[in-house]
Amino acid sequence: MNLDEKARYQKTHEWAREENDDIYVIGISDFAQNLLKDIVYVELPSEGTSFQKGDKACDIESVKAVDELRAPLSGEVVEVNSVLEDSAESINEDPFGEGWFIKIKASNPEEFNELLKPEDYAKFVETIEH
Amino acid sequence: MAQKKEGSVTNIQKEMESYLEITNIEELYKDIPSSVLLNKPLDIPGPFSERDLSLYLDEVLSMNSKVVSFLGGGTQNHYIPALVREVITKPELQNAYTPYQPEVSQGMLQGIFEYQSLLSELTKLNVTNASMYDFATAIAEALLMSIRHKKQRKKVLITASIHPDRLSVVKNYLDGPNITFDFVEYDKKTGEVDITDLKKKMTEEIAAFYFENPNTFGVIDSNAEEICKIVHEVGGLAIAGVDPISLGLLKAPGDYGVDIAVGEGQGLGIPISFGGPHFGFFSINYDNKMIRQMPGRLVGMTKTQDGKQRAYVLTLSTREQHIRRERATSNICTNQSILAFGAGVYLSLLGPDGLKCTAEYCITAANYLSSKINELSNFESPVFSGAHYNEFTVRVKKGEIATVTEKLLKKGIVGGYSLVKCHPELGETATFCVTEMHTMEEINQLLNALKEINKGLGGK
Repeated sequence: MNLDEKARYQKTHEWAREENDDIYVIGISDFAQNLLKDIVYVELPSEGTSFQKGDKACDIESVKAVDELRAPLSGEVVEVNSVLEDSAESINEDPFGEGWFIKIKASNPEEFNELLKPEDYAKFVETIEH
Repeated sequence: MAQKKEGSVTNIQKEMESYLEITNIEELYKDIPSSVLLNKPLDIPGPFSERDLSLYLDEVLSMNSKVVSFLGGGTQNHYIPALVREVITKPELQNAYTPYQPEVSQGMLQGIFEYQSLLSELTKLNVTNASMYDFATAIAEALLMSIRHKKQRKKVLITASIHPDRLSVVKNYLDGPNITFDFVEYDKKTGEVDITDLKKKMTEEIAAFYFENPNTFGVIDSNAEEICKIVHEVGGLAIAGVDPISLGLLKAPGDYGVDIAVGEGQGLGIPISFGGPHFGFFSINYDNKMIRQMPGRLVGMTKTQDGKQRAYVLTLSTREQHIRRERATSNICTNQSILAFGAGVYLSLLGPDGLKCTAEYCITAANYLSSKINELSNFESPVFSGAHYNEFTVRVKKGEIATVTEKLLKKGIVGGYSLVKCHPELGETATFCVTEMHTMEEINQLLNALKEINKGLGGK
């Protein structure tokens, strides 16, 4: 399982990474993409949409299941990775890079520190893998 | 052998009541308002033995008399080739539901796939689902889909010439999700969509415009292409309700810019019965985003693992209830498979030429009858100047359309569908429907009857 050392995680397998000034990039973890198998489609929110931490932000459709991305931070969507709508496979190929979903301007940046550090997330994943 | 006492109906009932902790079975109905509960036994004769029941039913049925019907107004009486029934009543295919298990349902799945392909060929829209409950629910689902697709828009436009029964269902569907709608007027002269009114109302708040072609008045809209253009200019979806048999002759919705085509499938080999069961069809153009908002089942074709054989499976089911539960795109989790399958058989039997011939007979016979009725001084037909398919409006200048209908019935003819309640602005008007089932004799029978009625009204 790959991890992004700069990102923080939540137990529903989303990651958030600070870009600059309260802007955070959001995606799903390598563990999650591996579990979902081939992702074929994502539905992204429109820019300007606001979320509370834990709200459903995106739909993720794979050949096996439908899942959702739950916002790891509260805030407003400032950018979406619309390339994914035509090439959802980049989530499988590069979940921490080209496979990012949305960028959020955090309304409560403190929430970032409440997220799991990479090593803690790795430990958590180990507990559910067995 | 004596019957065991504990097995008697009363004892079983008591046991069930005590298990449910109720003292009387009536308690189960306490949530139903007493005003709608029937408080007396049903007024039906019997009980009869099977033999007596059969005699009784024969007697009741013998009271039926042969009538010629020009009713239309939602259903169409078309000829049903005997093979349709023969094929769809094969026991292994007799299932009203969509098969989930492709490994045991290849026949039915292929049947639905063929139906989808034939409808797509007709509508020139390349994705057709496995069918909807009926025309009305197909319209409602198309409007809901437009709202899902155009996320920020919460309002739709509907043609004012929509059939009243269909409108009633649509209103019901739009009510829950709080979707507002407005009507676009029809042109009082041509009966087509009022383009000026559409331009005025079609703003960037509107998710979609629904119109019918031919519409309830039987009018074919000569501006269909312009309508779609106006809708697209502000980023809306154009939804059209079409008659599938008319497409043997008329331009396909996909060719004039329609995004979603819906319609009543009953005309394609399904009996009118008493107004149901029928089925609705639903076709869209392939679009990665749109298809995920599409309601209903889709059957797709794939290959077996060794790549040697074709195989049919439900596809994109991730939109649906059995996968997505409460987040499904639509609450339709079934369809009218057996009827859609019948429509597939019907279309394959008629072929493009057969369908064209049928549509030609319908349009020619209807327009002939309409022009003949117009020769009677007390009748005006059609009321609109637009081109007509197989239905047309007849207005009585003096007297009531209801009286005309009554008099026709006495002569063994079921007259037109009255528009008096839903379109009072048209006066004493009804729509008449002609199909290939009407012989020249029957058309003349109606004409002669109308001639007499015309004379009775003091006309020439």
